[in-house]
Amino acid sequence: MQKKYVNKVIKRLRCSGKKRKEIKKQLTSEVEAALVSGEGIDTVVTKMGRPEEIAEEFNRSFSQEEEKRYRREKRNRFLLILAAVLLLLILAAYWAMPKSRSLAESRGFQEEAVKEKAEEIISLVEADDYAVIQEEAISSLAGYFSREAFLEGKEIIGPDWGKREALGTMYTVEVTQLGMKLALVQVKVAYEHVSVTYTISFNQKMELAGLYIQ
Amino acid sequence: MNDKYETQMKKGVLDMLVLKLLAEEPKYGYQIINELLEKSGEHFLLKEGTLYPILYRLEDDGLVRSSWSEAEENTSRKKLPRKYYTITESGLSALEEISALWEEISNSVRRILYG
Repeated sequence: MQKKYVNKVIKRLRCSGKKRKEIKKQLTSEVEAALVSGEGIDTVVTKMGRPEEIAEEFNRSFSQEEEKRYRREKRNRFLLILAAVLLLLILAAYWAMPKSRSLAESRGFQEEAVKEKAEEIISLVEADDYAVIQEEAISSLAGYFSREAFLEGKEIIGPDWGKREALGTMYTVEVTQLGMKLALVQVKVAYEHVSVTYTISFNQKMELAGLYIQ
Repeated sequence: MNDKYETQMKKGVLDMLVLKLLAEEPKYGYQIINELLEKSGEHFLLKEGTLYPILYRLEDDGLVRSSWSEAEENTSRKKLPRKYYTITESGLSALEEISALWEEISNSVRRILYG
């Protein structure tokens, strides 16, 4: 109650933070003195005045310099909040932006392991082993690897790929976006009748996070 | 209507009364409020919230100065430090001048009112 009474005065004051602090300290100790002497908060309000009136009288008594300080501090506070909001927006934009770096420098992935895993996925695609691919994939992706979707995808590229003839150079990169880190592999594979580009991504648990063939 | 005149009249003499009470000894705000009440036969109830701004203004004008007392350890609870006001030399001279002025004004007012 004592705090509430004093705060009601304080929040209405149009003065510098320094003066506000001093007035708060003083009013708190004054109310406390009254309460300690056995008076109730109602008596205090009767004797000291309603918070709105005290604040109004204070505001009327402040010098022009004090009001200038109040306005300056208020403006500075606004600018500070604005700067903080801008900084947050910049950080959020940076966080949302994809950032890439060489997989060899990555701390979360081992380039060789990623390449091996990618080759394993390619072999599974070639063998139409969609069930194993489904197991390797993250849960949100697993639904895409149904038998129909899988075969349809392969059919679009070519009805009969033929045997694998050559595995091209694997290009790898680490991509970070929205707080998620992925290892991305792109490789061209030549078959007897078609040539297919695989883009395969893994998350840090080495689960399959994306698979595109074209 | 009476309220409005009462408030204005009180405001006019409050500086003088506060200085007078502080001329006796250093006091904190609530103590001044209580003394004004007691000595005026409950007439000076500062419900308009005027005392604290007056104390700040008197201090800005150099008529009083303030200092914080040490926090006291009471048997039951800790006592917060209090802000005591002391009248300065300029405050004493101002009190003399204002009292003389009050005397002059009240005499003049009496002469007009009662002939």
